[in-house]
Amino acid sequence: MAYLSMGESHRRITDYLNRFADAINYQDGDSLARLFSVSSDSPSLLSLADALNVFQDANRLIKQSEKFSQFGEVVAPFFRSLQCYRLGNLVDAYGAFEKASNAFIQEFRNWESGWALEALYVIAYEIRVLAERADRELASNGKSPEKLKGAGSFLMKVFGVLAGKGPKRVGALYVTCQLFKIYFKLGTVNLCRSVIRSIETARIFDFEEFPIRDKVTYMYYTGRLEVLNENFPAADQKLSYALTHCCLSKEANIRMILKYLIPVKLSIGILPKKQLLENYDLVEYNNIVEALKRGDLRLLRSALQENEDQYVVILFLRSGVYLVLEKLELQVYQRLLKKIYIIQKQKDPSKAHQVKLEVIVKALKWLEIEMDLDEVECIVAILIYKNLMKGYFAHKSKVVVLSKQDPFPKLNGKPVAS
Amino acid sequence: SGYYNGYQQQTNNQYSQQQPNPSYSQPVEAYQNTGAAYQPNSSFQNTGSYAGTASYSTTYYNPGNYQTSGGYPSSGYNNQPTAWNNGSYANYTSYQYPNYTSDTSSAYSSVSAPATYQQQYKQWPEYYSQTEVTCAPGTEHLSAASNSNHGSSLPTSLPPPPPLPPPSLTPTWRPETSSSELPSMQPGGAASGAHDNYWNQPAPSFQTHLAAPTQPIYQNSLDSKTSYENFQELKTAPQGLNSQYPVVHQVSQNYQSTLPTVPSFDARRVSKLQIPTNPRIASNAALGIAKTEKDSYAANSAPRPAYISVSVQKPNDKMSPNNAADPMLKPTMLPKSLRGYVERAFGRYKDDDAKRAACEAYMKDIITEARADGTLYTRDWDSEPLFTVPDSLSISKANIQTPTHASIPNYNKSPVRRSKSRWEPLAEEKMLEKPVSASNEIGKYGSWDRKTFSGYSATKDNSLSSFRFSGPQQRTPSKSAQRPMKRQRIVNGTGLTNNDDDASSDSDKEQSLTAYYSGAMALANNPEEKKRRESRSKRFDRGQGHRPDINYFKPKNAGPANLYTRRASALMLSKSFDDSANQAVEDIDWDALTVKGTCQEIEKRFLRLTSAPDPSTVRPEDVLEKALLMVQNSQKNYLYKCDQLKSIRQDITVQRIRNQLTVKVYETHARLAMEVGDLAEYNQCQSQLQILYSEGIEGCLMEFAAYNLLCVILHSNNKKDLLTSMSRLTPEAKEDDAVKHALAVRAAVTSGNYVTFFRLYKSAPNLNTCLMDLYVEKMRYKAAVCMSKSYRPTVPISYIAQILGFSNAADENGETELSGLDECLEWLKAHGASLITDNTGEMQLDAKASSSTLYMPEPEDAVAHGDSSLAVNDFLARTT
Repeated sequence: MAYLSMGESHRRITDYLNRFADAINYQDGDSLARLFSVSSDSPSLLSLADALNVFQDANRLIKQSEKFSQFGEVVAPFFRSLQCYRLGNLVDAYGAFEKASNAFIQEFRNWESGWALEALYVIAYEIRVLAERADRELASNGKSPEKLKGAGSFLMKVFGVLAGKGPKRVGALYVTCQLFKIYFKLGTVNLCRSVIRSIETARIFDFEEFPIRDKVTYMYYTGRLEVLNENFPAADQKLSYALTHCCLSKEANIRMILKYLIPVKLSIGILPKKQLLENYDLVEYNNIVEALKRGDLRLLRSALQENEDQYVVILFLRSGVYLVLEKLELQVYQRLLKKIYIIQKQKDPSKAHQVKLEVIVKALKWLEIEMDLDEVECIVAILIYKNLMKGYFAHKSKVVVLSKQDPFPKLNGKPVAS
Repeated sequence: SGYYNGYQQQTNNQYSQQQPNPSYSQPVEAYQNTGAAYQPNSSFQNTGSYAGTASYSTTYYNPGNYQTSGGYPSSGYNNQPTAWNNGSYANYTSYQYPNYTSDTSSAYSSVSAPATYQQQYKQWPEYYSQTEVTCAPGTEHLSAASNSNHGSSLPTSLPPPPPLPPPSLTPTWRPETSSSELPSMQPGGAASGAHDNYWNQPAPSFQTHLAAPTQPIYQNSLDSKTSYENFQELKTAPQGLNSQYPVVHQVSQNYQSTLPTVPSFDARRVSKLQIPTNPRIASNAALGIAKTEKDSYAANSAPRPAYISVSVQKPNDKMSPNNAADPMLKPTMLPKSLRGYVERAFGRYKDDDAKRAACEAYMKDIITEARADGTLYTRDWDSEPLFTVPDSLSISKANIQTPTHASIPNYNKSPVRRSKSRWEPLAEEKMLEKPVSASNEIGKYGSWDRKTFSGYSATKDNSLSSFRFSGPQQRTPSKSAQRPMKRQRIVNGTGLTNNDDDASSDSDKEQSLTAYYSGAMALANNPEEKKRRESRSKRFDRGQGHRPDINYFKPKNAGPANLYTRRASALMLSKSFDDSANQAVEDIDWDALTVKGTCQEIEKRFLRLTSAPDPSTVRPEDVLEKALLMVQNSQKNYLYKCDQLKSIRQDITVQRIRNQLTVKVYETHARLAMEVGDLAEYNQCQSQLQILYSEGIEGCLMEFAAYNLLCVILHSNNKKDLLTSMSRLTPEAKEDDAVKHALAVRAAVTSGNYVTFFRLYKSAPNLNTCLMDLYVEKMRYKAAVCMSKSYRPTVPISYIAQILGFSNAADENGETELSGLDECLEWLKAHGASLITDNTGEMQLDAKASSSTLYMPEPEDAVAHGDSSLAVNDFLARTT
């Protein structure tokens, strides 16, 4: 750091204070937002941080004039946070920032209009980002990371400020999304429910009136929640909404949405084009799609098998789609039986609807999957039970008798019966 | 101690009061040190009241002693009345005088100009009347006492009646002041004067005081020689005893007589904290001086009243009236429940003075903390757990603590209060400047958290000890006088740089400071004090060998002795700052608080703890091992074993044992619980085991990983949990048979593959079967529904029995197969299946008919609370 004179430091600090005061006086939310964005590493804030480290007595400056001292509760801890942030002490930076934010929220609560929403967004974002970094710092010091949890409860408070009626409600969804991010990171997704309820039950405010970016994020996360619940139609609807409304230039975001949407679509019988997987670098789904197309159980299992491709499996486990993909197995069986049926039909159309159990066992054997009659019988029973196959199983003769009409009904967007 | 005892018999109340003298000199140092460290914390209002005297004596000597002295003696009077009743009248009066005079003089001299003096003087009558009112219980005595004092003191020829008492002391004072302390003080005063208008006035007054006022006093003293002599006799005798172990005696005594004083301790502490500021400011910062002085000025008036109450006979009564009388004091007053808490705390150490001292220190912290965070009145003291005092602590603590609590507090109360009314306005006028001083303090605070701290200790000053309120006694007088200056410099360096937020501090806070300040100064002059100091310094030499800890307390020493101090500091810090505080709290050494059990009984019923565990009922580790063995080999039923295991777990928890024994206990319990299907208990054990395993403690990790998986799959059906526990499995774990089995079960369950499920059920390793058992019913039902829908026209029962695991030993002989078949038949009937017999005579399931009639029957052994293992019969069996 180049040498910074006391006078220059003083100038920078007063400059910041002036801009802060102006932003509030003119209700300039955008300017105010920029003044809060600690983690943006904007040059002006960095230089301010340096100035603060040189000129230790910034609080006196704040108190000196009536103009600044009224914001003292916000600015003083903010300065401390900035200082700590600059010095790499993220835990303290977070603590001070939360203090500043708290003071700001108190002020914000009293403002009639939502002019400062932009600033509030920045604060909500910074709270989360700083908490994440602080937790990383804590974890690396062997202490228990708890700041993100604290950030969660703080944002819950912010949500409370916004969630009521009035012009500020527009901001509620942004905070909700930040909360989702925290909860998903912490693995406490069940906490999302209360927030969702208050967003979705409030009829005073039409969901469509929220900013589009927040709506996309919101749909993405609620869609993921539905994936976890294995409620595929709802997941499909939410994730599709997110996909169609997502800005096309945000490829990373589209990819994130597809990561969940593809398994959901697969499980309701809709396969993606290969081009899509390649465009968005989702090649981990290639084999699975291929297995579904071919009825290749071995391929599916290898794609999901632990030791074959550890990375992909862990990826699936982490994102929570593993269980969804695993359930595709029945569809692969269905495909396999359908193929046997088609081959039989080519050989002898009159007997095509009777599939002997032995044939299925043999087909599986070719796929190097060893299953005895009882197991296959069970699979067949399940296929029929789940309506992936029409017909019945005759135990005595060990034959699957398929319906003559549409023996392998397509899912067509409906989930497999449970 | 003998002396004290005798004393006490004569006058219970007085005893505590008198004690203070020996301790006085000691406190001084302590205060200074503390001041540096603690300043930020000082949010206390009343504090100033009593501590003031003690602390000041060594540190700051104010030439101007005499001015206010009048006021102080009066306070002494108040106290005395009680003494008189007891019949030790002469002794007491004289004895107390020295203290009072010193206090008053110092306090006033530093702050006030001659004018102030007069004001005080005028107030006297009021004061007296006030005291009478406040001390309702002892009213009669008080009035008598005051009168008598007047009579005696008036002869001294000083215009103000109150000043009289000082005369006796004066002779001794003068020499001291002029020689040692005066010089140092004056420069400071002059400097401050230059900077601050306010000070200009006082500065001149100083000199005048020295010259003129003292002399008259001196003369007076001659006149009142008799009293003086009495005083000296008294004093010397106690001193010899006191000097060495003053702490112990005092502490115990004080407590018995006046529990209510506790609040005042806090106050005192605050004042201590601030004291350092003053010196620093005086020497280094012109700005600071003016304010602090003023503040202290104001402080004198306010804080004192608290003390008044103490001196009176019944502590409780005294306290409350005083408080009521003075709004400022109110904060000091302790809620009843807290008083009870304090009594309980001390009640435990009736026999151990040293421990009690430690206890006292700890108590102070608690109360200070409570006050700082505003929970003093809201906290449920009745249910607040008591703390324990380690033995090692007690000695050092006792030494340390004495000065602080000891008796000091009592003296000043009344005088201060009186002055308060006058002085308060003054203080407020100066409020404008106040913010600065406040900010200074805070700044110090900030710097203090860690680094400064270490810096201090490095200087090898008492800073640390002072931090803890210790050490002061050991200092020799000369040292103490010099120390402050050094420290001041340090403090300034840090303090000035960080000026932190809210400057608004209670005026009371600062006031209390001043009170201390002044008191200390006054003491310094006293010849008695000098003697005491000498003896103390000697003792110090001796003492070092005995308890080296005290002097060299450093934060790094993690010994139990430090625990409390550290804890205290942590608490203090946490109150004042939010962020840095957290760290401090995290660093508390909980190990030293851990219970060590002594119980030797192997068998013990489980009882949920409702209070801190009693070591005598807690079994140590070796006994617990035996207990575990006993349970493992026991033939009794699960309820007995569960009870025993829970008590073992409890003992392990309170002793914070975390090793293989812990793992073994939890594993044993988890297995037992699984065997009987007690999922609630099993889950508790499982979650503990996961933590233990993650700490790297060995155990049957794989086995329990498998159990965990099974449990999540079969019983919680929480997808998120399942995913996390699956992604946590290491590649090695996936090779483990039990884990593999569990994963296979999971796959079977999610796909609904009943054939695989029941095959796995038969081949389950360990206790996996037990967990699967709980799912068998559900799986069979699902299978039956599935089969009834997909099979046509019929399914043989024998096949169903085989597939659904009814014939466990089917292959071995026909008999069991039959029984399996019968069992299956029963089960199918119970679930509403429609059965037919075909032409070969074999029982068949009519699939089509059954598909609409199958149902899940209510479990027969269902109980309202959902846990059949806790059925009434078992419960009754257990209790008989």
